Amino acid sequence: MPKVEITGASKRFGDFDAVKDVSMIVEDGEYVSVIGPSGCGKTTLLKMIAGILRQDSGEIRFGGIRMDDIPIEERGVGYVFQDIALFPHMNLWENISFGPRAKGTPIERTRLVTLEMLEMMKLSGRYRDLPGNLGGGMQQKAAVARAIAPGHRLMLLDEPLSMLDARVRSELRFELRNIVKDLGLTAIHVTHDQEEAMAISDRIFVMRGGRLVEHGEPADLYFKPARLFTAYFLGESNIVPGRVEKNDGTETLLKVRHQTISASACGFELGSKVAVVVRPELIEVRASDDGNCVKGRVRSRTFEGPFMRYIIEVEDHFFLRVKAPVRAGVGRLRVGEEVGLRVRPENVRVYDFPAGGLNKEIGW
Amino acid sequence: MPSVELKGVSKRFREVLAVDDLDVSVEDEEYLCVLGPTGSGKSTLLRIIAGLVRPDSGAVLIDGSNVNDVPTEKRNTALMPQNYALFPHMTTWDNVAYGPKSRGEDPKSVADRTRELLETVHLQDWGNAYPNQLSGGMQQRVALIRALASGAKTLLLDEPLGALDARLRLDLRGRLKKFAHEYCLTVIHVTHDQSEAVSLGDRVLLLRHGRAEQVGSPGDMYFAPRTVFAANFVGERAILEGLVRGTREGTAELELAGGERISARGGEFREGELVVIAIRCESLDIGDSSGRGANRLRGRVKDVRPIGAYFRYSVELPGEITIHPHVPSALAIDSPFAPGSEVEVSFDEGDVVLYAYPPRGLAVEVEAF
Repeated sequence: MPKVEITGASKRFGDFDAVKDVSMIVEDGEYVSVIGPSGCGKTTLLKMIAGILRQDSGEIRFGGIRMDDIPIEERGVGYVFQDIALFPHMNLWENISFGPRAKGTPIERTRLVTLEMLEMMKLSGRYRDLPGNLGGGMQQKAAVARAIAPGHRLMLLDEPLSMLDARVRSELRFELRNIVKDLGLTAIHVTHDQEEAMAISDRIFVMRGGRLVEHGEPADLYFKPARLFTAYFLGESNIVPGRVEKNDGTETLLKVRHQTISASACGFELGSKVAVVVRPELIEVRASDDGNCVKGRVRSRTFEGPFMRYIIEVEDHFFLRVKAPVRAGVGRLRVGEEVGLRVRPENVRVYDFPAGGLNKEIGW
Repeated sequence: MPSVELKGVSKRFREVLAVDDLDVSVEDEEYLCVLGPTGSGKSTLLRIIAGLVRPDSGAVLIDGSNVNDVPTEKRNTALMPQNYALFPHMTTWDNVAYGPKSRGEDPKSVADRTRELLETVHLQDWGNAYPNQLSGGMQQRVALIRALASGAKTLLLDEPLGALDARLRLDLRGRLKKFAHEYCLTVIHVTHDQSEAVSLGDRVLLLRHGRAEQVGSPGDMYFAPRTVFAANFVGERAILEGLVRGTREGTAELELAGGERISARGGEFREGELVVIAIRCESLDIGDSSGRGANRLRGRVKDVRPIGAYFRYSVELPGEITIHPHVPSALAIDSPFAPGSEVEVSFDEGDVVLYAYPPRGLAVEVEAF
């Protein structure tokens, strides 16, 4: 039942287009996330799916049935908010069993569902605790359990992890995904955290200015984004202007400042102005110069735990960011040291140079 | 002489001991990151230094003098609280310029400085906006530069980057450190994000239940955590139980729950002793059977998730143990190991850190929630 189809949905607040002509399909059992900068319309979209907001135009269907005139409580959705919305005066058992009880579910069935939820969330030992006695991570898990308990098959999650400690957040996202998958639910998860979206979802939808930019599986979107904005927004990128110097169908050579960089064959005409994108972790740094690579000088380095982050100056005012695993032995490059940089051609992405300039396309 | 020093400071709120007999010493122009889970006493520590909370016992020293009886405004510190506390009736510009203006600085230099700071945090177009017209992340940036502009020698920053999206957070990290250095500030920066702490701090103080669990350089903290709690909190690790089966020349032979054996440095443990094993996720390699590490474990891939700069594998080992090797994307991008594949997880002896089994059990130490 919970295949979600949205066709041409738009929503306007005054003269502001919050959501503009969005169409998307979420398959039964799929975990998708919607990401984008603040104000991109992702929460508005989620609220329309829930029935909290009514779209101005377009259709929303669950399992082929039009939902437009069906109120939130009859749509069969569990909604989880950023602020943990448990009843503070009820213990976990009462909170989780609230939905089934309110629906008039038989007592024995309610008991079983509540038990199952507590076990699944690894909260069985805490069922008599009031929410205030639990850490934020446990509270949010209980909130998820409460949203699922009435038997809802579609979960809508609005920044469910963003109020939690970094440490708790990075564990809970995998737990959340496993729970949704184990129960065979469908989930739509809105977040501004790109890493969370990558880790948790089967597919990611990228939004900007109320519109859908593109969607795809996390690894495809991350390594082979079709749009420059995605390359910019999802993860970290070096984005520099360049020009196509050679394109013979097997190889593309790009001129970036005074450097020549080789990319996989692409459809750009000779001389086109392009935006060249390389992920910092896909640049290989070598301490010694072994020819056939771009040379530069280490300008700064920052220890980040598993990675060392370097800023490399290739030419005057032309800097590249590089992230190198600390283990690889290149974690000890010194500031001022000369290094060679290499990127595999297939890891160099090339895009049309944006008409309004780079800053407009990917500015703050 | 240390710039800020706490000697045996304690503070109790009803039944909770928020700060417990804490000694901290922050050098002049040092950037100290205070890391810890919710409720570990981080914010209370800042408020004690700022003079907003009076300790029940112990002394706070600033530049060598006891300031227990010195009011907030005379401590030469600027606190950026978690709720920003911007002046609601003032524009962004006036909020930032307030400190220097009230100190009677030359209007021209106040204006230049304010403009420069607004640019630093990408808010140059928002000078005329009032706080309630700004998003949470924007307000946070205004609060941050207001603290920077205050002219105080010591900045006390409570989660200064917490409300920002990943991209902006990373950008501002670098700028914050640079600014602190240029203006010779002493900074105490509270965060629950371990990656922020190790990348920004000259030193990191890890708090737990109001006590210092460990203080040290980011490298020490990351590579040589002294307790199981620190190992679990700083960096991502596989944390397993093991039984010492023998020791020889500083190397311990350990048996895991599923019966496999691994070896690790740690001659101080005795045969038959139960220990805790910690291995950083990024030092776990996966391969077919050509692994280079001294330790090799056979397992089955349950799941692979791309995270960005690395892929997180979930590998099930015998004994119902799941570990999560982090493989750099440059290597994982064309890895053949899909879910269901049989793989070998390998790692070096030197990548394994051993701890005595905690008296209250392992769960209490790794409880992150």
